[in-house]
Amino acid sequence: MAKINYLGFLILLVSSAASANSAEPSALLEKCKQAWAQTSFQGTLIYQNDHQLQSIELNHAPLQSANALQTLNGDFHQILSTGKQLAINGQVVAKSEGQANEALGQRLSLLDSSQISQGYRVSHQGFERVSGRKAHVLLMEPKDEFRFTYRMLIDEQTNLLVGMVVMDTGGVPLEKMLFTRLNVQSVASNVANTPGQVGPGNATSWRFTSLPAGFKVISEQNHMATSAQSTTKSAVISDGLAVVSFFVEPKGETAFTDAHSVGAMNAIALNKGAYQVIVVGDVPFVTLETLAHRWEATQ
Amino acid sequence: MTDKINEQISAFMDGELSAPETPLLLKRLCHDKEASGSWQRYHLVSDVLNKRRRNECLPDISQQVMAVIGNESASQETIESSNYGVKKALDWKKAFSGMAIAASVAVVTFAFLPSNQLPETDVPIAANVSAPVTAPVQLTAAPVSAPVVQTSLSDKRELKKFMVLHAQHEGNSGLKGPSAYARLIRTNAQ
Repeated sequence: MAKINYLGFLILLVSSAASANSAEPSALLEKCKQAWAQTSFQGTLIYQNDHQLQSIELNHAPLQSANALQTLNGDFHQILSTGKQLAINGQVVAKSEGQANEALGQRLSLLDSSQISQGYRVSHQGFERVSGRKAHVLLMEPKDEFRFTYRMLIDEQTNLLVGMVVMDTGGVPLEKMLFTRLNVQSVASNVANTPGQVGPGNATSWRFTSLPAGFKVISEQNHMATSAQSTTKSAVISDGLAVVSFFVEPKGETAFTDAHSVGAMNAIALNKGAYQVIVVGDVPFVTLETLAHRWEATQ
Repeated sequence: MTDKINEQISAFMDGELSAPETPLLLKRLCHDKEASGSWQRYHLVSDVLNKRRRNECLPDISQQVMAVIGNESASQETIESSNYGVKKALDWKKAFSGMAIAASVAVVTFAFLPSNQLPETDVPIAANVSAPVTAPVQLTAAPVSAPVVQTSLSDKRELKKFMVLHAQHEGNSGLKGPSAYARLIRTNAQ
């Protein structure tokens, strides 16, 4: 009897020690999303894709729904993103109607992190040191070939994402991101987390005939793509981790088919009847292709 | 300039300025040279205190903010032409800062990224598209069509426009915000 009690105590001791050194992955992911929504910070990060290494300064001000970035090596580029518009080197390149983009951000941040477990096996891999700080290491391995593998580093103190590697289905890294400096400025305690109104729908509606496990439709909205001076309808789906955007506009004289990649972000453009469809996301090309065929006009 | 404005600038730099006050201050920074100068001095002091004065040669962010606000309804130039102008102005700086920063971060990068190497050559898109598909429970994978046709440079620019929009979507998502914005800047740079 005494032996059994001793064994029970030992198990309790080991399990409590383990929980002190790790964290429940889904809870950690939830905190990570909240941290992005509530924490103002300034930091320097490095981003690597293909054979390019880019150093970037990022100012994140969630209360103002603003992000300002500038490159620190190579050609100079500066981006200012607010909830409503995006400017690159001082030129507005995209605007969203009304509060649409802010609402989209809120809807994405409201996704239940447990949704991720439908598409990925999530495990806590211990800790690493990033920017002189202790960071959790989470590994998200896809359960099918429609997604990539993610290795995320989450700052233990602030719960901010401070590093990430995305790998393709063969385990080859597609892109790597790592903060080398992080200066947290403030943490808001009462950020509104209620979805707002998304943009108005237009005459032709589009729907998905089916989606891979874990993916949900997050929003539909109208974008004002300023360079084309035309309104583009868009939809966004997510499995809690990967985000895929769909854009459609009437096929004009400039309709095209194309494919392109930047790091883990892939994009394809194809023609569907009278429409030009563009699908972009951090998923394999085969997923984009499959999803494009499952997104159909209903009238 | 009043102490009130100074306080607002200081609060804005700390990310503590209230949402209603922010657009007003941004407008003032665009039109009020004194306020704009104060903004720059605050940054200079901050940089000196942080021992990092690398920004002193970079364009004033208030000018960028002014451009964002002022150009909402104005006709748009192409991203490429805008980039070119900035690029020319900063060419001299590029080689210097590029090497220095790349050198300083390289050690960190490769220490962080453990076992796998980046691919030596780009994987052709056609190969990716025709990769075998394992169908999930809820989705029968569509038959993968013929490889996507590579087309002209103007098509590439058009597609990049949508990649930029997507990166902004993803940047709002919370979980991968920093990576998404890094992609956004890389998309524009490529």
